[in-house]
Amino acid sequence: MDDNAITPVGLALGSLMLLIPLSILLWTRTGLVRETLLALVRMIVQLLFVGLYLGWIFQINNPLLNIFWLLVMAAVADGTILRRSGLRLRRLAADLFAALVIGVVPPLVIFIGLILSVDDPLHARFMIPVGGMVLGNCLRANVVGLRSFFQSIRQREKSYLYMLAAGASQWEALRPFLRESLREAFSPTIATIATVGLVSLPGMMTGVILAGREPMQAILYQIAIMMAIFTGTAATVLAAIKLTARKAFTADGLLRRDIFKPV
Amino acid sequence: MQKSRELIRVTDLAVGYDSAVLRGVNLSLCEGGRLLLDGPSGCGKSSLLRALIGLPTPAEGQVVLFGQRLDAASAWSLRRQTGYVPQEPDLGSERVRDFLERVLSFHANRFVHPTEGELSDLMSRWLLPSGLLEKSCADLSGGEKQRVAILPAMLLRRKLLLLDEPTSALDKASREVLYDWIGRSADCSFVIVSHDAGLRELADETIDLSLSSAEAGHGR
Repeated sequence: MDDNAITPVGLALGSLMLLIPLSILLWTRTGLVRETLLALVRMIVQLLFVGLYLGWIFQINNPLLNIFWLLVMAAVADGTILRRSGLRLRRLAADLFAALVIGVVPPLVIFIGLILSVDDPLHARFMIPVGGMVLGNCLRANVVGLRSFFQSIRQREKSYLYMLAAGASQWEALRPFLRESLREAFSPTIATIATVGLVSLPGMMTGVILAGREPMQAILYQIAIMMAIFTGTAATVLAAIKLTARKAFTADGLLRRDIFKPV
Repeated sequence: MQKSRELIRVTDLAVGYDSAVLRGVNLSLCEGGRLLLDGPSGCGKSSLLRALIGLPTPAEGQVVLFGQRLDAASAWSLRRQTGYVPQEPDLGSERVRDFLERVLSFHANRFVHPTEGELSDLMSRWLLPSGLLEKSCADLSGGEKQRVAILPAMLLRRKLLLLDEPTSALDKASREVLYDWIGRSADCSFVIVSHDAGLRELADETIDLSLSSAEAGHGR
């Protein structure tokens, strides 16, 4: 249907452009050639694999399977976030998973159900790419938020204990740490929102333009997805901290040491 | 000693995070009493002090505070009746005024609303200039932090005070203020970790924890 489809041959020929970065790496003796080749191969294999099973999921397009797939994406995000924040999977994975689902569902429902207002909101074509974009963008914010929250309590435990001793409830004592970690988690997203379009044309917009839509339509899509991403980010980070904290402290209020991965 | 209410009763307590630093600690404190804990650094004095308010609650042995057994459930309400001043307190980086307001904003402390006059009286009593209220806690000297950390307990009129090396960063004049406060607060009881000779004089009992894991207990 489209005259601008990418063919394997075209892509293979186009990959010759990689000779430029590879020869730069080789010529400057950065020692990164092997690593780069490995990364490229991984990228290609992973994406081909994703293309295959997404093709399969899109073909079946069963609402339950689509929901299941969204949960699989949330589970992968869950593991990645905990690993990168230096936290133990076993203790916190269930709570973080719940937080991701709780936080991603509202923007997804609003984006697909209200803004796009499609007849079939559970269609794979909507749910999976939009869900994936929101989840993928929540990843970094959750890593920053969780790491900052738990690490700063560990580093400034004296201050936390002082507040407990002064009669604070658990969350009264945690409030400054919560505030600081939310600030750290949100500010990059806010900065991105403020500069979008000036520095780079964002992915979703580019996609919509390449698909042949008017630039203004592409802009509206972009505005919608950024609102969805910000909503998802804010909701997942807050939920993640609130929910994981229940397992991260002892009943008398002390931070458990075993939530951290040994260094 | 005279018959007065027992505020603290510690029985066979083990203190320390992973491996217990102190074992078999027994002590008690009556209303109005002043107990000094002494011993070489690292012997677990500070940990013992924190254990008295359930940070953490005892895994071995028991602590009875105000007649109530200290455990994970009771610790939260018992901490609302005690004042704790750590050694080298970390007060964060907000202004001193905001720090004090934060502590007083806790649900448990919401009945205390000091006037500006009361606040500045208290500050000057501790030889703290009232302009200090607008300074960031991070910019205070060690001695200033130590004194600011005492203020919430005084504003909240806590009757049982746990002080960890309270003189460690104080100059002579401020030390005198501390001695005077402890000496005059007849309705308050104190557990103090210190080597300070002046405090030792004020104490009506001293426990030497250098016997480490041995029986450090007495005090009836």
